[in-house]
Amino acid sequence: MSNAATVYRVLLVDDEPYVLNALRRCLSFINVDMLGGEGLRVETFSSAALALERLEEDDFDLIVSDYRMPEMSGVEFLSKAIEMHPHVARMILSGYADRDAILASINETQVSRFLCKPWDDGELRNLVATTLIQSRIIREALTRATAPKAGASERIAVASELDRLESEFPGITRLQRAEDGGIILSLDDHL
Amino acid sequence: MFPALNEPDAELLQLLRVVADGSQNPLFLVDPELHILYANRSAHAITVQITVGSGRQPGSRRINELHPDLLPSFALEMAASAGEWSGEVALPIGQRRPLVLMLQIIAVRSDNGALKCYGVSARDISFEYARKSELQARNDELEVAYRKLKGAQEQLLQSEKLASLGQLAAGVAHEINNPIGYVHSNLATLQEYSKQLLTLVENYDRALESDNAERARTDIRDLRQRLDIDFLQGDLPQLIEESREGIERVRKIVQDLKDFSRSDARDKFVLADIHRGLDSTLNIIWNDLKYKAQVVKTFGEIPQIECIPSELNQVFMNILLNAGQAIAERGIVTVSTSLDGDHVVIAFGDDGEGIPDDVLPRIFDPFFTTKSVGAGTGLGLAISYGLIKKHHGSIDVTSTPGEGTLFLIRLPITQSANEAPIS
Repeated sequence: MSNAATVYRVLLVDDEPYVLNALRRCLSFINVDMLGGEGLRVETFSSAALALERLEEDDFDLIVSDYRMPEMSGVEFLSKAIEMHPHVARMILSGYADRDAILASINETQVSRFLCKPWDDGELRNLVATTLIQSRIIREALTRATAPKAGASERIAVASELDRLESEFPGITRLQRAEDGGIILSLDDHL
Repeated sequence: MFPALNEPDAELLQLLRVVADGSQNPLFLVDPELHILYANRSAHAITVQITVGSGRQPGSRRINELHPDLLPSFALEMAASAGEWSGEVALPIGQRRPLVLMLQIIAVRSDNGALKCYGVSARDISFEYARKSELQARNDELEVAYRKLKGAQEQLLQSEKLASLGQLAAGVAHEINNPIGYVHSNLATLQEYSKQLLTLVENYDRALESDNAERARTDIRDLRQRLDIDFLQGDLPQLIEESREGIERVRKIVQDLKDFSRSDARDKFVLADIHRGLDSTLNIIWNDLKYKAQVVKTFGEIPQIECIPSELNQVFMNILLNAGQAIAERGIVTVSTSLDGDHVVIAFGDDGEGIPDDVLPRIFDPFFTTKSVGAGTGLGLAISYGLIKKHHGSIDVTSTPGEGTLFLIRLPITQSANEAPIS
């Protein structure tokens, strides 16, 4: 893996700059030991649209987004982010957790956590650190599995797992893309 | 004109008898032992009715044998002592409705004062009595129904209040949790910062005691770098300033909530500044509006008015929340005030979807709502209408579908010109 990818990158989005400042301070106390010796780079955006522009340029390991924002909701923002980076880990950090917000977050963007403000600094740090490590492991496994240079035994293991999944859920291992590169999600059973 | 009664005139007696016999009201003359001395035709009819109804044989000469309650003993005693008694008696006879008689009993005495006989004149009021009881029963039923409705109405008012409170709570929770969120986190950071600063101070102390000045300087320089004290020096004042701002925001929201509800002066007309009410209402629903609407305030020069501030705030809130909901994506909500003679005019405008013509006449109807089931009680505007009426004001609405809606509220400056406030 290239060296540039070893630094963990976190993207924070909240329409309140002071919340971003507090989060940045909070995460600055995550030490390298918690991340297995890797560094952490945090970027903050008070505009979801600007955050999306940044996401077009670069990949991130974790996105933490507010739910209620002026331009778009956290769910809308994350949905667009997932189109660009399907494997990015994601969380919502919201001041008010109504049922619709939680349902949309889980059902539409499969967030790994729905966090409430006020948050606990220690818990948030632990959560962010473990999420980053887990997501990196999953990503690396995926990269290895699809990389042509992967060892034969590994490829066989992945292939048999893919076969198993395919037999259980026909179509699940194939991806249909539209002309613009978007992933076509279909509920049709014949796929 | 007529001869005195103690000189009975045969001809007059004859005439009296004809009149008495022909009277529709039963007339009895009974002696002190209650033997019937005379009964007119109606009286005979009544006795037959009583005896048949109660299954007795007619023909008795003692009146209380007809029915023990016909001439109650207390009534006779009263008549004997006071000369006259009148009142109602109800005689349950058979299965039918009771026979109710309006009685007038006159005690007739001889010259020496001895009781000679009783004159009893009766009027059958059974029908009126039955009708009265029926009316009474109906009235009682209505009373019960009214009380039930009143209770239901109060419950509805309460639930409408709770519904708008729920909406408020959502907005206020969000508005409070943001500043609480970062202040809470900043305090945790501050704890870390102060630990680092104290560590640094300890090292300075050690340096003061140290014999090796050069070594001490290097140690401190290393520590400063390790703790990133330069960054801390820049960030610490900012952290404190941001936290202060956050706490100030929470304080303001709590103050606005207090101003909004003003529960200390409920149901009392007081002189109050409408602008203050509008501002505190706008502040607490800000969270619902800010993501959709730009609020343009145009406050004119208006005097304080006699009002119940918490009730007007509730009206303002209902209209402003509706305005916000009428805007699909982004829009403008205008709030303006002006003076018009002895009234103030408050106008709320929005450039939202507007109200269709067939809906417009019904928006103040209780329970009328275009929101989905559970989203609206349909009471917000109905209650607002009632509250403005209570203030002797008026509330009007004009709307163009696709262009927006304008609510106009007119309120009198003083309530004294009007009657006491309707409660």
